[in-house]
Amino acid sequence: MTKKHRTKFIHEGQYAAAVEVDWIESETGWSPCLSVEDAQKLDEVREALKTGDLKKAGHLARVFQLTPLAV
Amino acid sequence: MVTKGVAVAARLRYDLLMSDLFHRILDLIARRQVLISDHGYDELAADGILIRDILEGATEGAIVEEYPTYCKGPCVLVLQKDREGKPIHVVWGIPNRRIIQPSLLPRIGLTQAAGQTIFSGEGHDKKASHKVHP
Repeated sequence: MTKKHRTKFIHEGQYAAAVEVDWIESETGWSPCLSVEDAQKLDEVREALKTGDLKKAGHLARVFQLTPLAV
Repeated sequence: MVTKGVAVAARLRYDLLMSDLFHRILDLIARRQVLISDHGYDELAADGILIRDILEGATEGAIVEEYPTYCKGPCVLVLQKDREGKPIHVVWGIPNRRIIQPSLLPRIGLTQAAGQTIFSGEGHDKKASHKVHP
């Protein structure tokens, strides 16, 4: 198995977060995969964004606010 | 009579195999030897399902069907519930190669190799329809 660093983006409402995770790749045919820890980190960020707990989300990821553009 | 006996024996053997696979998967989950496919995670997230619900709900899950000959490794479809009691169909599998963890594959895959478990959750099942393609 090999690990590759990746950034996953999560979008909840007016916020988005960039979460750093490792992609685990193997020859099993199921890859790429996430570890339980990384998946739970993604869950925590997602829940924090949903509840507006930006401080918690900010500890685990880079958080962005989405702004509509008038084009 | 003989035919019925053979059928009963076949069914009994099938049940034993099923429970053996699921027990292996539960053991891997208990040891947290689980991987979650990236795509599978996205599927779970889209349905608002948390990983911990999938992991914690497995022990109370009911086996629906098994796919012992799936090319990537034996899989089992399990009906679980989330923390709110909503039904979730999950496919757990053990990859053919040697890896030692279960994978969580929300309807789509968790990954692991020989000795690993793959979990595939379909998400909340509003119509109780099984749409699992391990």
